[in-house]
Amino acid sequence: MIVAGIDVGSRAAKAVVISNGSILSSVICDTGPESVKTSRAAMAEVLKGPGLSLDDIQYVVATGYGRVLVPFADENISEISCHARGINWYFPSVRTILDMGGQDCKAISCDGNGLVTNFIMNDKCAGGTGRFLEMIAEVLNTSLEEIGELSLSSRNAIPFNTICAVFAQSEAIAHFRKGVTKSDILAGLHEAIATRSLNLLKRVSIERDFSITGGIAKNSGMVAKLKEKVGLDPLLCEDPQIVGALGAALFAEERCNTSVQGMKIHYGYADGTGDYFITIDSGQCDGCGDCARVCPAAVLIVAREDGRHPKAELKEEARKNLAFLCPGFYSCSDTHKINCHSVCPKDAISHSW
Amino acid sequence: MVSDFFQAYRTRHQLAEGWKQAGRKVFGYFCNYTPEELIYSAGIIPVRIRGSAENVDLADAHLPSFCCSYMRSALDQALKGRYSYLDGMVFPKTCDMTRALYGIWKRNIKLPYYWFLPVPGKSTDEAVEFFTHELRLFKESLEEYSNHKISDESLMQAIKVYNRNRSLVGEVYKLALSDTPQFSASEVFGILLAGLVMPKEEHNAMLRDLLDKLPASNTSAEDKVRLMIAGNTFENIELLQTIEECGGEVVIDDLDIGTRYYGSTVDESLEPLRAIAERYLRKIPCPCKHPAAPRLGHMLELAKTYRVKGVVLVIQKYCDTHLYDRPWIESRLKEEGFPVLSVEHSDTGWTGGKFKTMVQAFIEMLE
Repeated sequence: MIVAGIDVGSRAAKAVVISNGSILSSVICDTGPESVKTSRAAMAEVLKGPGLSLDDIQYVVATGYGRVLVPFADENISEISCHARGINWYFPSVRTILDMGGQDCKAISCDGNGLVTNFIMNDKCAGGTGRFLEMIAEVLNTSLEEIGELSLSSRNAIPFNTICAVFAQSEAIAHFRKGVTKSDILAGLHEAIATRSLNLLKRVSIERDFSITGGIAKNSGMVAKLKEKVGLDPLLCEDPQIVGALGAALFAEERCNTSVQGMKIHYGYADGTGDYFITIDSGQCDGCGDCARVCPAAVLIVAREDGRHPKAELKEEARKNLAFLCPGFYSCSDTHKINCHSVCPKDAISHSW
Repeated sequence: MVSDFFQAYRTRHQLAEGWKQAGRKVFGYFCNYTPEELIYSAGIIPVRIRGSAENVDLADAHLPSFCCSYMRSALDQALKGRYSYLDGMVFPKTCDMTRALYGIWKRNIKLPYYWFLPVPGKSTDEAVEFFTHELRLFKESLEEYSNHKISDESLMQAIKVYNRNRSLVGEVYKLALSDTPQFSASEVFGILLAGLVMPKEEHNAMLRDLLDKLPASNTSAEDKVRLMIAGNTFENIELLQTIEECGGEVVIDDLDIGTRYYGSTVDESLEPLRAIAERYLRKIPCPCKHPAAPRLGHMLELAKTYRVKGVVLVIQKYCDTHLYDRPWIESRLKEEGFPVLSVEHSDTGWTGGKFKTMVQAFIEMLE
């Protein structure tokens, strides 16, 4: 099964294609002014690598600010849920995530299953986000990729009074004119952003393990500062920027699995004397056949439909007169300590009477 | 029809102009601590002063940007002449902003009548005594203004109309006890808003009519995540519609214009002024009054009765009274098993995209 996740963020669009829980390909491109076009371009690009077409993709989940504008998506899920899900795939031990994106910053708490338990978003302004760093890089005539390393070489970080994007920019220019080195200015700004992020994290509570996602997680200077402030060594995945899209893809996979396998199939009927149903959870049943072997009434069978996984089911001939063949679980288990319920390794079978 | 309520609210200024032409007097007031029964018994129509989503520009000359967006917008609307039909204004002493705005309003907008009503911060017997006395002074000033004695009978009549209104709105709230309520939160919001700006007997007639001809239950509400909305006030109905779009169903509120306004009746067996004093000081308190515990108790009771899975706390930016209470309210709700999404809101600076992301993630977390 091949599914995809696409994360149309405020600054970059990310797409990931996965097959049975492993990544086939991923792509990151700039978000243009038109989210629809961007999403199509990102999708076309990510499919190129493995030589697939959109028809090969069973399910697409969109996330990010542009999530409602992805025309080929089957569903949209918030990026907060997707980042938690994505990081859980890399590191199940992570409980606290700092997602530092293009125009916002989020602190997320999650559990061992990658489910969000709490989260908080930064205030409206863009101070301390990717866009802010872009602006500063531009002012200092440096590339965004370099600023992290540069900040690490500083020996005398300049303290910044504000990280309001507009004020900080003029403050940085003023320092630059006075001859302060780029690295000292950058170190000060990184310090300020890290402090702000720490406050965000404190509002959701900081628990081990800690991870940073989003584009800014690729900035070594910021990671170092956060490590120092938070007091925890962040677990960083190979490409922290695609975590949201990966999470979306994992949700897509789960949606396919539940819609195909998560069905409970009820065999039997109800008449004036009561309900007589045997229920098989086809998501759980692995078709081992133990229930069919131990059933004293021999009403169960493991069917092998074409191309599908074998599952236990009620024999065709027992479906209309089940109450006369099977005494029901409560009576049966009195005399048969070993029965269809006791032998099922997956707890996939149940009786209504 | 339920949409008539929101329509009435939207056209409130035209409606008020109509009453004026019919020879009625209209007073504006702030806050649910204004004892409207007194104004009503003097034959004057009390209307709540509301803000708007319109940009604030004239008010900037009088209020700095760290004042709450609701008050800035309300003053701005008045300066723009939207409330030109008013004959008077009543300011109760609640939060600092309301208190300060009394002077600013009076200085900049000439009206025949102004009253500042001191409302105690506590609800002790002494406070009730004090407030009864203040209500008497307020009553006397209204009599002087209208040149008309307010009898105990007319005061009793006003109390009855207001109590009836509270019980009818209470019936609307109770519809949401069902898994498939007839009205969505944005529809109920329209009902609440209309009640702020209409004569109560008209609101009562519309409510009776609505409750007599209830539409079918909304079965699609069954799969939605039941939520409570809490906080002070807001204008933007989009806020509730976004929650609905994301799979949430707001079934109950703890808002300044909701249960904290429409809850608690006046005891009809007591001496009227005393009964009114009791009701306003012992109603579900807003955060500008102390202590906060009764409000939390009220929220928890509603959350349990209406079977909500989480609480969306919407607070006006820079509303310090609400923000002071927030950490405690939030942590206590969480302890009781109700996750909280806290949102800072400003009607004039609505950021729908960010709000949607937060609400969607919150609902995904609760599902």
